[in-house]
Order: sequence, then structure tokens, then C-alpha cells
Amino acid sequence: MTVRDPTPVPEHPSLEEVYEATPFSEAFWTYVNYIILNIFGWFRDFLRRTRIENRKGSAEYNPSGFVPLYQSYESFYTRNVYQRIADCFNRPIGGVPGGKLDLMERVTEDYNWSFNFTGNKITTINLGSYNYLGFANNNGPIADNVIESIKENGLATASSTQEFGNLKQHRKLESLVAQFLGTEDAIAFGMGFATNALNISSLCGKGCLILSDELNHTSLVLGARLSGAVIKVYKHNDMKHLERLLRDSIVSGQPRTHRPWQKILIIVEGVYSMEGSLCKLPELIELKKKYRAYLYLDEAHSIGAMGSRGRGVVDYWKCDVNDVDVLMGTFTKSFAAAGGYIAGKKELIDHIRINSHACAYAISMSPPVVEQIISVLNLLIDDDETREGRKRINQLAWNTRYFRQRLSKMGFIVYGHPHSPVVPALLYSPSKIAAFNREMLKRGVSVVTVGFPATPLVLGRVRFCLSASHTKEMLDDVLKYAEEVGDLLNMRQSKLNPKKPFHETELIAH
Amino acid sequence: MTLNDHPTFLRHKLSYTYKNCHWKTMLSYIRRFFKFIHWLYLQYLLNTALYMLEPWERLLFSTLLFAILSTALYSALVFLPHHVRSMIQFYS
Repeated sequence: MTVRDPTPVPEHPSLEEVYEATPFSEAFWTYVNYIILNIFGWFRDFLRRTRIENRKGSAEYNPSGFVPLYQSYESFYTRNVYQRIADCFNRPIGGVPGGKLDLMERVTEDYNWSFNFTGNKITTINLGSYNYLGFANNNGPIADNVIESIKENGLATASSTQEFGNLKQHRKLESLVAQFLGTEDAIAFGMGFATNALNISSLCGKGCLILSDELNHTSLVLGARLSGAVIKVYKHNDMKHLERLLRDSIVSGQPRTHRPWQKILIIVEGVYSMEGSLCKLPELIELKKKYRAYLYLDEAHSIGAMGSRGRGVVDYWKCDVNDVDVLMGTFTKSFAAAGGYIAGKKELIDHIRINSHACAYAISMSPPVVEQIISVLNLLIDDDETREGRKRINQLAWNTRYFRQRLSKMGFIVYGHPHSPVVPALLYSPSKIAAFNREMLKRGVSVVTVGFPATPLVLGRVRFCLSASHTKEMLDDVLKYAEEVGDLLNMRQSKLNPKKPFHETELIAH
Repeated sequence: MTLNDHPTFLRHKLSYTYKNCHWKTMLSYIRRFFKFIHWLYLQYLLNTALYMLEPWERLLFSTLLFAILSTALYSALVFLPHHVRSMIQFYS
């Protein structure tokens, strides 16, 4: 991977997040799409039920007296909308998903119900992996460290953290994470999803209040529900709504008894992966101090990727780490490993070590994975500008600013903060997301396109995930192909940034 | 069936009517026109979700749509002049 210091990119004129309104024609045609898909769905279901056509998907017999196994509209949607474009999702890969990715080529004879491999591999530029710092490769000094650690420590600890699963390596990892983030202590778990789902219940219980953002990840929602606290949801990044909810809740107290709340926990994410937006951390900290609440910050996508030193949104907004009570993150994205961590004051981490479900029952992290994270952290803690860690962080920041500015100048409607490495460009209707995916694959770029139910019904999108392993030439190629495909699909309809051809969107540094 | 399937036919036909330096741009205009028609067809497929449906479903839907639109157009052409005339008579 060649990491070089490229020409400077001018700063975006305003660092506000802009969410352009949906063009009326796109909304209209998206609804027409869904109506026609529904009509044909009913027609095909009728054919399948009367056995005129073979039933290919799974179906249940619905015996009387039993609760149905599948939710009926969800399975209707899966059969009649998702399955028609299933060749765009869940593609098997044939190699390491780094900057370039090998996809196994598939053909289908019965319209995406079943696939056969042709045996070929398609090499594509990979814009679908959360490989923010480009550490996803299977050879190199880090991979050698990992192999050494398998020889020393084995493949699995086969024991939970509170029993025999806490090795010297785990303690080293935890102290390195604490040093990286600037907190007193940290604790690491084997699964990022489980870190959220299992630990919120050791922080909150009955009699507590959880205020969570509208667009929080499923793991946070599950963790909040498992804890048994009262949950109130505020509109995405809307600090006024949050303040109003805080004031109303504190004044009225717990639901029936009106006693004061035992604790109030505000749960936010650093970077929201579907919108590409950042949380407003300075305002959140101010609110939390004013109303004496606690803040839980989930930095799954922002650790390593945001901030001038790669330390996450706290570093980006230049806030004090001690102001955020619970810092959570995952090692899946920037560190090219698996697992999650929680960092904060020593009392908090000691309490979690004793009381968390994950520490008592879940198997601790696998040693080679721990070694991978330790090697990456050693690179990132190093503050020297000429070393690998800082170079990658700078390359990612450059890639982000470059790609976002050129993409929005070309006329695409792009959501999110100008500095976030997740770039969603809106496509609105399900047929367009399938078309975009297939056309980009023909040109050698693999992207992730998402529709309902991961996004709202009308707002299907393509989500580009940038990485430090993308060079300027790769990004230029991707932008040129996006221009072609955008014209083919008539998607360059931004009114705020009227469309310009690719060569006119050249960024000139001042 | 594209233009490229009949190269000799086209060159033959055009060499009688146009000079040599004109037929190349003529060809590119025709090619662009066909590309535009293909683009319009793609927009029709994308906007009505026919892009995701199987070929027989596309045929079914397009036939129905064509039948409805042609019936409406025919009725308009046959009945509108008479209706408009009688409305003008009624209101004047």
C-alpha cells in the first residue's frame, strides 16, 4: 500500500450537515415502484398459493393453534422485493477485503432464487468494507505478530473473563486502549454488539432513564431494552428536543410514583453509519453538565477514523475525555479485528468487571485477535508524523474531504458531515439501488446499496465507505464511473449543487 | 439489432446521398439518438420497477399499460371534438 502525502484539499466552505429535501419526482416514482411491486407481489403469491407456480422460498404450514413463525409483511417483502435483487446483496468474496476486493462471479438461472459459481474472480475497487485505516490485509508485520501469538497463546481461551480467560495479553490490550484514549482504565470484550447489549444493563436498571437518539444502532436499542430502564427517544441530533425531554423528565420524575430518577443516561453514537452524521459533542457535554446526566458515547465507526490523532470524536471536537462518562467502541472497523471495549474511570471499569454479564458468561477475546489490536494500537499511539499510523490517519482524512467534495459537486445528493468517512449518496427507489449496484460492478467497483428496512422507505441509498488504502487514482476512477452511472440512472439531481461534469469539479487548493 | 449489423448497407446508402466526410458525423448522430431511446427505455423500466421484474411480467405490465393508454387516446380523439362543441353550444 503506498501512502503518500498528496496535494492539499481546500476546506469545505461550511461544516454544517446539510440534508437536502427529496425531489418530488423521486419520491413520486419511488412510491409508484412500491405500489407496482406490491401488486406483482400479490399476483405472484396468488400464483404460488394455487400451485400454478413452484414455491421456492421457505414457507410455513401455519397449523392452527400455533403462533405464526414469520411476520407476514416482512416475509412478503423478502419474497417479492428483496429476493428479486438478491444478487446485489451478500456476495461471496474470494480474498481479503482491502482496498481492492476479489468477488466470486455468480450466475443465476431462476431469477436470483439460487446461484451458481462460474469459477471466475472479479477484481473490484472495494468501497463496501469498514476498513477505514486500511489494516485489512493478511500479510505484513502485523500478520506475522498474530501468527507468533497463536504459537504462544493458542487460538482460544475457552473460558470466561472472570474465570481463566483473562490472560496477560488482555491486560496489556486494556492498558493500551486506556492509554490511546486518555482514560484511566478500559475493558475489552469479544463481540462489539455484545459490548452494548450486555453492559448497559450493568449501568442502568429499573428506576433509571435512558435518552437515546432516534438512529441508534440495534445493539444500543437491545441493551437499553434489556436493562429495564425507561427509554425516551429524541429526534436525531436535535439538542433542543433532548433538552426539552430532559427538563420534562426531571420535573415529572418516574412514571407513576413521581420519585426522582436514580440516574439519567444519554446514549449517542460518534458517527452514525447510515447517515454519515456526527454527534454534537460539545453541546451534549454542556447539556449533561447542566442537568447532571451521564453520557454514553458509542464510537464504533469513529474510533481511529476521526480526529487529527485518530482518537475518535472526542479528539475531533477537541473536548475533554473526562467529560464523557462511558466511552465505548469496537475493534471491528478501524482496527481490522473483532470485539469491543468500554473505557472510562477506574471505578466504572471495576464495577463492569464484576457485574457485567459478558465478563461472567461470555468467552474472552481470542489471543490472535488481541495481538492484532495490540499491534495496530502500537502503530496508532505513535505520534510521529512520518510513521505509519499518522500517515494512514492523514490519508483517510484527505480521502474523505476529496471524495465528498467532488461527489457533491457532481450533483449527487449526499448526506452527512463533510468530515465523516461514511458517504451516503441518495438513490431513493429500490430499482435504482439494484441498477446502481449492478452497473458499478460491471465497471469494477463494489459498493453497498441499502434500501428499506435499514433506511426509511423512500430513502434508499448507496453508502461509500472510504479507506486509507484507497489512492487518489482509485478514487478518481470511482468518481468517473459514478458520474457515468449517475447519468444513466438520472440521479444527479441536487438543487444545492447543480451537476457539473467530472473534469470541472477539480478541487483547487488556495 | 444495431446499426453495426448492417455496415455495408448503410455505407452503400449514404455514399449516394452524402459526401465521405459527412457520413461519419451522421452515423454518430444516429448512434446518439438510439442511445437516447435506450436511455428513455431504461428510465421507464427504473421508474415503474419493471427493472426488477421478470421478462414475462414486463410484457404483461407493458401490454396492460399500452392497452389502457391507447383506449384513452382513441376515446379522446373520437369523442372530444363533439363534446367540446356541445359544451360551447350549451354555455353560449
